[in-house]
Amino acid sequence: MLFLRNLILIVFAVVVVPVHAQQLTPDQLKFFETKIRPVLIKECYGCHSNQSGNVRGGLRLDTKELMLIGGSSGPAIVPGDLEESLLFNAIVHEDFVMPPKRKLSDAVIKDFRDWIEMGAPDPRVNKITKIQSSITSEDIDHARETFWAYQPPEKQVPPTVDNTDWPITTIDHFILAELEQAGLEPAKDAESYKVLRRLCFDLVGLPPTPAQIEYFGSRWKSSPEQAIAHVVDSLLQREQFGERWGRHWLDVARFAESTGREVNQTYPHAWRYRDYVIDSFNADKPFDQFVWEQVAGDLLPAKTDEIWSSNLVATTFLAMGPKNVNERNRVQFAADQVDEQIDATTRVFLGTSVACARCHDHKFDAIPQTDYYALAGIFANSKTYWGAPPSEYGTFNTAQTKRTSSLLLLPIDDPNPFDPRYTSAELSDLRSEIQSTMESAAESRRDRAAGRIEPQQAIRDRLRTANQLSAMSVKLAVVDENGNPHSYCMGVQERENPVDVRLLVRGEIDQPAQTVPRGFPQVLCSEPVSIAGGSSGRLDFAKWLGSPDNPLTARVMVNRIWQHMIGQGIVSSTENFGVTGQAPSHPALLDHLAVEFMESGWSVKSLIRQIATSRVYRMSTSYDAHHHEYDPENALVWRANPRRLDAEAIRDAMLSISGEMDLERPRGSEVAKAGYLRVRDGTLGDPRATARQVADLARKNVMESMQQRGRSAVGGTGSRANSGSNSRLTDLRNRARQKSGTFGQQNNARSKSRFGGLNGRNNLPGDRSGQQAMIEAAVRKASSLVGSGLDMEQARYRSVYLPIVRDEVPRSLDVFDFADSNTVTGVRESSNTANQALYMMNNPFVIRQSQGFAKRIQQDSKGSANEIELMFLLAYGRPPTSGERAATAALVRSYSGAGRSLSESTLAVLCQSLFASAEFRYID
Amino acid sequence: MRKLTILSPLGQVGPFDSIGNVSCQIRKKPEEGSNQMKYLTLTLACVALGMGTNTSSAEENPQRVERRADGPRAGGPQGRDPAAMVSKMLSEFDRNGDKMLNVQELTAMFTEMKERSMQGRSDSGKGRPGARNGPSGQGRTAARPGSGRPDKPRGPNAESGKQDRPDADRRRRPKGQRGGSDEEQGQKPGGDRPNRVDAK
Repeated sequence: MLFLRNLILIVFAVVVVPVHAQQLTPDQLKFFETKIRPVLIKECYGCHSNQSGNVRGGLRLDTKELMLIGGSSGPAIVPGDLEESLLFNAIVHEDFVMPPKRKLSDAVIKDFRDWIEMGAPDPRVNKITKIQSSITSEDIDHARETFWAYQPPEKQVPPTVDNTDWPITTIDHFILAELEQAGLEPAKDAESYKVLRRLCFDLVGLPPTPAQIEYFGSRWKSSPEQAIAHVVDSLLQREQFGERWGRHWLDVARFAESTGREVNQTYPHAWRYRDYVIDSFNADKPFDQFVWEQVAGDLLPAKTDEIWSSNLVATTFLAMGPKNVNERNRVQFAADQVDEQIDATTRVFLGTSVACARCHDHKFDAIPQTDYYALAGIFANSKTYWGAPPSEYGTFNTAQTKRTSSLLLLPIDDPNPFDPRYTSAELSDLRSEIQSTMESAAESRRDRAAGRIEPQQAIRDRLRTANQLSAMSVKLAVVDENGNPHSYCMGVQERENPVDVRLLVRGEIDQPAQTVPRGFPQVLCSEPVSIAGGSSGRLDFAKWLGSPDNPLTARVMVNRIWQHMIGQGIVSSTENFGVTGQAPSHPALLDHLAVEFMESGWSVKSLIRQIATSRVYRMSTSYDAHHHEYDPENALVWRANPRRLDAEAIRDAMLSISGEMDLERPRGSEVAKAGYLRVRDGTLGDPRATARQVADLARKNVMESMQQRGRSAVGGTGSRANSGSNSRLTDLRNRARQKSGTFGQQNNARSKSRFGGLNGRNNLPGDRSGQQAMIEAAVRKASSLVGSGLDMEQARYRSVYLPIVRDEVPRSLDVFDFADSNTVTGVRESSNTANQALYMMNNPFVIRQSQGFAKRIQQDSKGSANEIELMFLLAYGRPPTSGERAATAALVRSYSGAGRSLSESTLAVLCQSLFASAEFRYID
Repeated sequence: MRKLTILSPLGQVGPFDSIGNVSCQIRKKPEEGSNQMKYLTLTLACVALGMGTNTSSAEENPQRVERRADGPRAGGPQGRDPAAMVSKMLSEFDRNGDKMLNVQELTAMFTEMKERSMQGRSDSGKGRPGARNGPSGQGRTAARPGSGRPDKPRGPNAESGKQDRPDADRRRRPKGQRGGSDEEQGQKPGGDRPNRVDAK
């Protein structure tokens, strides 16, 4: 026991090896203490020391070690080399200007010159620590040899099964064998319409059309296999396939068009990555190539400019993560950015959380802290492009933006479609405006210094001018000298002369320990990797990720595809294939699929086809008590998993059924249209300007309503029909009450009062509330016309093209558990909340789609009986049951009265009821 | 590891406590005049010793030494001879002329120094950059727009009277474009051209 405790202590001990400073001569020591240290303390530590809490430019001058490391611009001191010593450069005001307010005296500058030339003797102790990992190489070898996920997948022979009639594909053999071993039977095949609906939503994210339903039904009767194969092949060829599966990938890749965090800056060029992903899935790009391009596309050879551009855009994967752009410390920002890149890359492709080892050895997996910094060295040697390009005047940060970055120029002429062109006169005006703003900013500072204006006013001035200058500078930067817009993308580029990075104790930037050579996670490498000199190793890493030698990449991707098709992964923890993740329910099947995936040329479509045509895929969701008792989680897949449609599928299905959907891909995105700005209050732009616009429109709407009311009073017509965006279902209830007569009179009065009644402006007691309601309705209408911010309720294109701004996701997606773009999301939540029901009942978008649905029904059907039939066919993919027919008739009667035909408004209510139903939102 | 401690009649003052932003921890009350004198003498001796000492061993905690050498923070009498400081303090605050400061006189001195420090910050904005946020918002706030630093034209253009760009990163002047290790270094106007790897 004692031995074990000692062993643990030894294993977890952190060995600190102090490296003593070189002994200085007394003269050197005296020189430093009398001439150098006091100046450093007085002039520099205020902004460049740990004690002051200020590490500007990532530079600390309070230790010898960090002074030699330097900040983000390079080493502050290079002993014996004045030219390379940026500290000296700064104090002589050559390229840098330090101290910022004045120049040091010539005597002090001479002292520094002498000190550097004598080798910069510095008595301050270099406490270089060396962190000894608690995970030994034996631990790593042991994990590699014993843990299932770290061993290469092997080709499996499909197991024999007793029930030889049931399996169709090899997948079925693997599933059935497990079921038979457990004494379970697979569920029967689902009905044809359910299978078709499943296929359509799974492959393209849209409901089947009546023609598809009819065709599939007829083929199903003769040969279900052929019917499925035909539909699958057809759907795989459609453009909507890439949109559906591209969105799955965007979840994983934490795609978003803004930085998120406190200051939510837009990424106006992130949409290019979205389109790249969609195109890649549509083209069935080999997944290994897909991996290479995203991790190191900039380093891949390209035959044409188009390929080069595509490769560059692919590296947006590394650049579009969440960022804390108001981070004051540049080094901290860079460390966080690398950390985010490591986390995303390893979790997305390897299903492993290496980022845990930033601060300490991984607690469960055999990933020592040194492995993290070996990977960090790879990513730290890349420049990441995500912000806005500087103009000829430089980059002007806004008040909240402390960190920024440029963009990459695309080699092809493909500018952001919303970037304006400027004439030379406009460019000249812009330059003049920038200069005058700079002058006014300087004047404001002078006024402040002279006490001519109040400090608060000076602050306001400075904030205003900083924001103005930032906006104007970007306008100027994104066009060439002729005023034509440049073509940009986000991405990464290799740095020159890559270097290894140092391990940071507890991940703190001011606690560097030993330098760690660049490399890959050892536990995943059967043989040690070597990174070619002169390269960062990113290309090697990308190649290794997308290679058959890697035990995880194929498995992880296969598992993701299985999860989307079947409803749960073979490994249910899709981002964690480590020790704390879930073990595979069918390890042999996972290996079999992974090997086949690689052998098929890493073809995603082939794998999807294989799964979709299996017998497993077409099982019903029917419940069996015995089976459920044995396997409540359905881990053995004894039946199909009923699934709620995800947010995009629900929205797209409504648009598709209503006939309003625009299947054309919009060029760019709303964020690209908005440009380089900070997202505030859920709007892309100035919220105050939006509010003003809404107020103006609302005023106009009120005036119109008043006039309309006046006309109604004269004409004596009812005003109820134009109740606007109020809930149709509420309307329905009111009408039912009116028909019943119980509250008829009362409701009539209320109905009149809502619009001020028929008696003019001031005649009824309820007039005040009527006016208030009218104003509210006007504001609602105005809001919808101006645009409901990022909700984009007026948009008719597919949901994958909606603007995805971090923490400001459109409501239509957010309410149905859209992926959190701040993190890698392999499996979305699937909740069932009151908010969702309220959204389906009251949201203007849903109401508008219901009205569109109703119109389509009226146009396409022949007679009221057909109307109901068609309605159910479009919404559920099947005709109504007798019970549903009776319920529908009852609803129509209560709403329209006996003997009346189905009006459009009645139909709209009915359509909305179908949209709000569980069957519409679920795949059975 | 040596630890520098400044003792005062009011108690122990931490080596990093600013006299301007006084935050003394009272250890014990002063007793008699002789004790007060002893404390004051010791205090001044320590101050003088601290400011006069300019060497330290390599093992010494650099931050402590730095603070000591740094002396008082913003508002403090920087750059003066300690002896002159003492005589000035006595001449100003020794009201009863007994050549030492009693509790009331010391309290008055600290109050005066604090007020002077506050006034200096609010009026002229003088203060050392990087000091932590104190009552008057020095330090980090000093870096914010409009806070109390004198805003003279600075840098190489100061003499020529040209105006510097207010919020542009200074290092992006054409001369300052070094190949750095940060995304913000070496950026070219209008964006960066990527490097191409040609297919063989």
